Amino acid sequence: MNIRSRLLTRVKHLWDHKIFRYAIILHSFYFFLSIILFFLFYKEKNDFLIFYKVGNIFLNDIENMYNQAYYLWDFRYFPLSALFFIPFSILSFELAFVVFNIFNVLLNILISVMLYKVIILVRFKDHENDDKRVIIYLCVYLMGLPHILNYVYGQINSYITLFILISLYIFIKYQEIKWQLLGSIILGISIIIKPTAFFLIPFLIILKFDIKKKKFSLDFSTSAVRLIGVILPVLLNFILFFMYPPLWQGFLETNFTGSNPIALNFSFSISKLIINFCYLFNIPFNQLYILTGIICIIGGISFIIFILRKTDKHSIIYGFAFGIIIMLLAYYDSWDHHLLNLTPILIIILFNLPRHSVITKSIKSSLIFFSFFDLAFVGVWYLIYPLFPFNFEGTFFLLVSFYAVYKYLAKKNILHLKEDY
Amino acid sequence: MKRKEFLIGFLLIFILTSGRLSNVSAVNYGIGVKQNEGLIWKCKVCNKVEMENIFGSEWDSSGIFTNLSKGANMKWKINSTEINSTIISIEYDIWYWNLGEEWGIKDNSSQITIFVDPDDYSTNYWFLNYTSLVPFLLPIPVGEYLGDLSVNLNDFYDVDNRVLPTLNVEVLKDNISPGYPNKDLKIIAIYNDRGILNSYKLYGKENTVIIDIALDFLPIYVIPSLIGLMVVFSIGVAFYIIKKKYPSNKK
Repeated sequence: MNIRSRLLTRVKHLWDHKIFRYAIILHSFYFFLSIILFFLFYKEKNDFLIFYKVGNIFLNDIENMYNQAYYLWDFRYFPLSALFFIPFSILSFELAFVVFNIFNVLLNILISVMLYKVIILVRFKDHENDDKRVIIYLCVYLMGLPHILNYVYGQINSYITLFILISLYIFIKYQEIKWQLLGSIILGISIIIKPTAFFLIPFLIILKFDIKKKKFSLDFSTSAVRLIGVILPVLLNFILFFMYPPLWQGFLETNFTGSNPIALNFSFSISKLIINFCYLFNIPFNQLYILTGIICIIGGISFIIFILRKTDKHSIIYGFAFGIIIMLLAYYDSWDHHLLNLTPILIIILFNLPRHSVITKSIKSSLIFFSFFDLAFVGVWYLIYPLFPFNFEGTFFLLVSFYAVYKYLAKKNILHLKEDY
Repeated sequence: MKRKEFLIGFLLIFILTSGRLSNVSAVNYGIGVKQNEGLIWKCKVCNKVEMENIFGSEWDSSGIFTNLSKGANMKWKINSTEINSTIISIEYDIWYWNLGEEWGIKDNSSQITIFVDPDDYSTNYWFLNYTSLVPFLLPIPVGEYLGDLSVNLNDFYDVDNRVLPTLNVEVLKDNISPGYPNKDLKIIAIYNDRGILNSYKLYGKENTVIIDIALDFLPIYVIPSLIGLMVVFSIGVAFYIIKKKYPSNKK
């Protein structure tokens, strides 16, 4: 059977599932809705405008890449990310947006395929053998409301998710050093495009501390290869920084040296909740100190838990979950569409856990909240922000997920997590 | 083959018309306030010593900060609004900041003129005719107006219209004129969807709030929505605790 007929058979099989049909219809609706909303309301107010401009600036005026006067909102990413947007900058803006979002749709199909492959690879033995439940969760991902914002704003989260899933698949499937290098390079490329996966880096180190034996164990060669692989693409940016010193200065100023108090918004990160609190009650604050503090606390706790883990099998999935949760909890602006980076990892965890594990409920409720309810609370925030400018519901479920991951890593025998054990 | 031709044709039509489609959404700016409407702002924080250090001893003797002090209110009554193809004009009576409960006779009458098209402002524009360095009223939709205006604004200004229409201002010591301001300052001005200044915070050294002014108006839906959210959240937590304490025996 050739690839085409295999694909057709597979699609036909999927189409037999009612939920899959609904998911496809709903996801297509998100796509077309985003195009309509773009042309009617968001043409001059979306993130893609910045990506589109940066491609042009990279080609024509690279030294001014971080001159924020050129952008509607700040451009913060690594300079090499602009390379990625150059092909779109050649097209007219409207056409570029549509083409970009068509790519987003294709990426979501690829993400679903990768998600399926990873799930099959790590599925715990007591799960159903057929793929009915897997399809249901793939549909949950495709039906997730954060896709609407991802499409409307012309965001790049789908690209990041795909890179994260591919690298995860490679890390789990292939143990050879060359594959570990490839997996980490792919992760490094995702960081270039958007640094969401930045806090995944520490969890690539295969380091463990056995409390009973009071002994560290480190797989030095694999860890070193992974670190080199992930840092190498990021370091390529420094060639540009070296060639164009204003770029380095601009990058630092945009990302790290700003200490201005920032006004209210509905980000669900802990940093933003604190900043909103300080803003509301006129407490002097420095956003950089708050960010650093939260990274140290959440990142530190996560890394310690990860090192002290009792179980090794597929621990990288949980490391990835930690890495993304750290970013979402710590960085100032954590929006609804960023959750598209986390939900596939939560789905993988659901299948990696025993079928009726005690932490499944926590992961499942977080997944459902992120996919279908978080966006509603953004609306609620607009209603209540004059008195209560805290979009804390997303934060709450991020902490629930964080606790669930901790619980998994802290248990000696994963069967202990079964409800009826 | 026919299908391919159709798709190519559709794509070509789309490319050719996409520019036109986008023009349909060109923004028409308008006025968010109504004739005879009263607007009241309340001062929550006013550090007079710091204001004197920054702007000099005359800082509260004229302009929008006249008699400003903590707990004081300022009232505007909109007398007339007018819009033509180039200018928005708003005439209003003003009762400067006072601590009393009675407004009495107005202190002054004034007029605001704003260009309908933000492009009509000169490049490097700043709101120097306002002591507050930001306007108290802007055209609507205010987010879009600020976004368009940002191109012409001076480097002091940074527009953030992603969530709430916000004008951030950062002025370094002596940047306007020698000794004015006498210290670095930052301002965050947030506007409501009617283009009215909703919150004004002036920050000094180490982000200490020196002035905090807020529109004395709470939309009717805020308190019920907040109560609703708290009730739903409490019920959710209670439900979770009960489920945890008394798990169902169904297996």
